[in-house]
Amino acid sequence: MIKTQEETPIDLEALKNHDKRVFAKVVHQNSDHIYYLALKMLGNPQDAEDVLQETFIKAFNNIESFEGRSKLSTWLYRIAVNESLMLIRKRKKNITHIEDDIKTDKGDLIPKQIVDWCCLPEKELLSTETMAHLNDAIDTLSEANRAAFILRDVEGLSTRETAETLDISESAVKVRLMRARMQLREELSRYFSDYMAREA
Amino acid sequence: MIDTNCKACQAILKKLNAYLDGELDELDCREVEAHLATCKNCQIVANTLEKTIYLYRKDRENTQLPEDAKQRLLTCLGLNDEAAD
Repeated sequence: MIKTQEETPIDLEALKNHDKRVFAKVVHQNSDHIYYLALKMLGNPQDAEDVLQETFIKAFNNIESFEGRSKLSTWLYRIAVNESLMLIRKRKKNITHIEDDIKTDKGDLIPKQIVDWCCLPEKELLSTETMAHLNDAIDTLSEANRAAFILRDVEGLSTRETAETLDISESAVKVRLMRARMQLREELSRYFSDYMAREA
Repeated sequence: MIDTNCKACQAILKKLNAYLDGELDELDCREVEAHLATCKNCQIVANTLEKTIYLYRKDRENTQLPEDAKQRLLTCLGLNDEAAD
């Protein structure tokens, strides 16, 4: 699991007074996490860097509106998710809300690929080719499911924190997570099935 | 493919995510485990589902914000002179 953020407490009072030293601490503690989220949401390092910068600019310009009811990191994730979605919407005109994704869920949750690839050696599971395929697979998810998966399963937020970040209910997080996991499993199983056939 | 007519498989699939997250009560947990012990296909689905999450966590461990991108971020925020605590 990824190291949790906010290892050391942030002086909110100083942050709201635009103390640069505290701003820097927030950046150092969270930039890596925000970058990863944006990178996986957008699939492009340049776009991820743009979202990263925009997230912190918006956060610092609007720090007065942070009420402290959620963790600061959750608030930053929320800005980053919204920035990522805005960029995606710019790319694909006509999307007006996260629920109206162009990419739709691939229907039912009944597993189709029944291939046991767990037995593959770690070296092959973590090969450069496989890692590249992880990006292709995550890109097949709807933006809504992708965000839930990254936040909950990869960044290690709790269900409640993920719900707060995405402004949805905890049960909606669970549904999105289940769909994301099952779809990714299908995609990876298809990939490893081909891989094992090639190597046989 | 999973037997879509098998009610036991359907019931287990619905509980699989909660099972992997450790959110099932003891009774449900035992039910899932008993089914997985006898149903090869569901066992494969459970194992590959768990492995899928594992691979993404590995990917996360190996992905970091590039140092030059971090410097550009600090520059754009006017924080170049602020050291990491």
